Amino acid sequence: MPPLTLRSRLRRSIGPDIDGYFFVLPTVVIMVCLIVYPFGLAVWYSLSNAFIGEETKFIGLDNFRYILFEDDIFLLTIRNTLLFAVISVVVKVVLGLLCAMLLLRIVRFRRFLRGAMLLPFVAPTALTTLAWWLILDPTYSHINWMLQHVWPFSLFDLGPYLWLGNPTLALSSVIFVNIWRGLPFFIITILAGLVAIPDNLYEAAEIDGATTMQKFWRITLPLLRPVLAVIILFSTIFTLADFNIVYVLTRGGPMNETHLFATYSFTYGILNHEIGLGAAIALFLFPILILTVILLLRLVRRDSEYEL
Amino acid sequence: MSSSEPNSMTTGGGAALAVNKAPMWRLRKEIANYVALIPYIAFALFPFYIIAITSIKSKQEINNLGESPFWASGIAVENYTYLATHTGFFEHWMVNTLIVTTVSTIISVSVGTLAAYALARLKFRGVEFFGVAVFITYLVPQTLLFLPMINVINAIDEVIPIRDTYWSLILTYPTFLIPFVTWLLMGYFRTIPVEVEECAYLDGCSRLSALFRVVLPMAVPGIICAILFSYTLSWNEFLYSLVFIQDETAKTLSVGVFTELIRGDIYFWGSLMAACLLGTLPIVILYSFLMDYYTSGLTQGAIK
Amino acid sequence: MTRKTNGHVAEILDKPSSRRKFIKQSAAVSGGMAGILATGIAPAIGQTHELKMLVNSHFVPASDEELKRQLEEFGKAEGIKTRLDRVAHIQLPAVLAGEIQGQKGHDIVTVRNADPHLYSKHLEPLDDLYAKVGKAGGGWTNHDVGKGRDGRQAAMPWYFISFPIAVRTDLIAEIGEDLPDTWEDVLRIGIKLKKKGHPVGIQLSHGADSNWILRGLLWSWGAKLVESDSKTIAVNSKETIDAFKFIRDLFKNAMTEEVLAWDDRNNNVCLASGKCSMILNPISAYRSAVRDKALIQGTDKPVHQVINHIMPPKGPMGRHMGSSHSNVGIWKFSKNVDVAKRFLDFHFESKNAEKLLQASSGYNQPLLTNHALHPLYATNPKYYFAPFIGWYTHAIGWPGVPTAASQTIYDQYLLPDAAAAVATGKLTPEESAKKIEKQMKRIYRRF
Repeated sequence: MPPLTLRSRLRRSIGPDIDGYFFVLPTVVIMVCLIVYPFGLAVWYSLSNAFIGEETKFIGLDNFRYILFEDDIFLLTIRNTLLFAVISVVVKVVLGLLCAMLLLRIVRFRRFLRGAMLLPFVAPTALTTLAWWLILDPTYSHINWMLQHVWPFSLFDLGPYLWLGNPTLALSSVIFVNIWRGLPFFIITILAGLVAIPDNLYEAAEIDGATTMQKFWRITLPLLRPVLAVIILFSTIFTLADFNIVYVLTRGGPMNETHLFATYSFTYGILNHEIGLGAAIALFLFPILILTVILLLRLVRRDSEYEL
Repeated sequence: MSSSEPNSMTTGGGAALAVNKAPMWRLRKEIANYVALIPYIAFALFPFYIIAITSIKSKQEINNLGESPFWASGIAVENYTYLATHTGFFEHWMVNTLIVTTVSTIISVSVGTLAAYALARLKFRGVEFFGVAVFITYLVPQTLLFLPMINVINAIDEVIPIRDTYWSLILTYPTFLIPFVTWLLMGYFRTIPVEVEECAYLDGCSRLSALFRVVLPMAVPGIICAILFSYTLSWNEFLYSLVFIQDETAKTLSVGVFTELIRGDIYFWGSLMAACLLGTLPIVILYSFLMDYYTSGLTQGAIK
Repeated sequence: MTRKTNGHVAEILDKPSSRRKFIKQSAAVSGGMAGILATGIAPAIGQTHELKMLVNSHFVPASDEELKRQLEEFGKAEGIKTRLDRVAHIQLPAVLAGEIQGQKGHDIVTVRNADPHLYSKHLEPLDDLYAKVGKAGGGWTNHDVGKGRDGRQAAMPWYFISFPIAVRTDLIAEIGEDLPDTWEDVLRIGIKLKKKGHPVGIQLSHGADSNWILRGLLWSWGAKLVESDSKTIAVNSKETIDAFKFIRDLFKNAMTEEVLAWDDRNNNVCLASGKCSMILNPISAYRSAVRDKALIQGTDKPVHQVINHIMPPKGPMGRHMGSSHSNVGIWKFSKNVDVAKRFLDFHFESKNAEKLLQASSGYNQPLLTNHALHPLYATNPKYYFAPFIGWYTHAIGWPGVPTAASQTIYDQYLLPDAAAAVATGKLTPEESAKKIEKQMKRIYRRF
């Protein structure tokens, strides 16, 4: 039996990697000093009748009851946000994977092409959304002009579309702009993951007679999994909390068909000062998301590494 | 460490496959590759074309909506000069934003790398709790979080005046950058085989030096992603900058542009689009520096 | 560091050796302070007074410049530093919310519409100044504006931005009509002009203009959202249903679908580009047309020559229009309340108030009787309406006063949505009136 020194006892209760604490120390210090209080307060707001500048009182889940059962716009907001997030993320994952694989193989103009793909994400968000507002303008949309005057579209007499005024088109436009802006995130991060996969794995598979599809499913995807899981999670969170696009393009209209959690929460919380309601709306998916995060972390950490 | 060459054959993935096939087939495949990329490129760049064209249109042209919106006759430089003469775009906002972004990124990526390594590799009590806790703050959207944040900033402001300076941002940006960097790099570190590190330990490396000498070089594309995206998230951040800083000379780019170029229902489109282009430039420059390291050359060398 | 007038200290500071000792001792005591000084950042405690004012960026940069100049002039006379900060108007609520939350920020702030009611707990009462300025200015034209929840004056009424109707005089003349005086005229002319490709442009969307215009329209029919007690919901009435029916007619026959997606700037663009024949808007559409030298599409004639502003149309129950009212208030938590009050006193003096009016190029319409007939409005026929439109303009919450609840109705765009639902046929006028009544009741119950 190994001697029961302090060190070995520590090791048994804490785990083999005690020095891990030093690795995470700076992060913990920063987060505890700066974010624990605001985070706790935000959660508290959702359970209180908080009104900016007034005293707050705990009211339990009353805010949630109000938004679910009395407020008639919130249910629409749930539908909008879920549609928005699911469609956006799925499209971004699929297109991101495809485009990253294309970008991987090119040799000429590599820097330019990869840079071009990155632009929508790195350009100032507030300003590119304004540009999209012009492009989708109700009166003088660039796209409508193109459909009417530019060959081959002009052959089909495609009527002027109300990109931001028709409920279905408005939600589609908002989703489209989100995809436009978020796709580079996927492309570049997946590309970084693809680049790390060594060639000899593919060579070995080829020698064993694997097809392209088999190579993709058996080699590429499993090795990408940790990275893919993390960025899908991030993208979902970012997309669910997206504020800017709707705020600039439609402000929740037409008739609340594009209101998302973030914009509706803003209306209640900041414009009307009812922070309790605003917090309840913003944190509506909080429990589900925490669960997802925990599960995902377990998944990523448990992922077995490949053998060389 | 092997340096990267733009035309290296080790681009990872498919290029190595083509070695034994006929050259004609290879060329066709390459062309097909580029052609398949065209829709993506068009999709990404189309709005930038409009931004660029609008930024060189004169005010009269912007309003003249009967003409083609895709062409500008002549170049209205005044849209750009307006930024220099009537706003603090170059002298204040650009500088402030550059400082905030650079410092925040450096802090976040350094701290995040260490934390990511712990999350990816190490087993100790509380590591999972730490991983979840670090991420949880992301679940509170900024439009809600900024209010309690103000209390924190005000409390610090009592001792050191950071309101209305870029220090308030340098303190708060890491709160959303670090979780991002940590989790992102954790994903990348997980794709690096443990065996490589174990070799280093056998050679007598400590954990920290193994991290720096072995793991980080292999994770360079991931780290570049982290740097790039940290930079971008800081650069585009709007809300904290709006509520912590109102002093004209201390504003960051996005907030300043909105204040000056959007007045009631009047939008100075030419200058707004010019600001958009100019505001993209620093990150594009940063990217072109970093892209040289974005290949697998280093990864390959380490394994062999 | 503030110099103490303590003789003892002064004596010590005169002798070199004791000076050094003194400094050493103070440094030891305030080690942290020295550290802060070393980094070059001045400690918060020892800073000189600074008067800070927050406004939203005005349509006209010159107006902000004039305000800044006045602030500086005042500051120089008082011996304090001053600073004017600006944010875009859509961002003002977030910044103000942040300042209230942290109980720290500017000294003087712009508070619009129902903000004085919303924030009244944090705004310094200004009843004395209100009475004084009102008396000197010939009386306030609107007594509801700027009041807090306790009935006291939470902020000084500053100006309102009016909503005349801007019309294309040439198009109307071409079809042989007179300029519209009633909403029925607008409908009739609009139908004729829409057929020629020049529809009417009134937003039925999530935008500020839509909120104001539709309130005015409802009021012109005798309908109202709340009673004059500001609490009883009165929207579900025959008058409202008639007004909704009119909106439906107007939308179907004189407007195009695009108004469902318009923001505040779109109607400007529509008019200035020559497409729309009539819009309700502040003078910004006209002024942009002048500044940008916009031409009538397909010609080289400037469009601003054929734009004119006239009184908003009259409905069956009179002429009414809504508008955004801006007030200026002082935070209770400000450390410079008295100085701020003195500045407002200075600013509201006739000559200074008039200078700001002049600088705003006609956008700011005063709320003091004596300023209404300003020479500025006589300089351009397009501004002739300005002195008189105040008689027909009401603030949010009319016939009641601006309240927090009325602001919620405004921010959730309940009225534009109700109107849009009727216009597009999604709901009948009766259903829509019932729905908005239910929504308003739900909201008013919380206050």
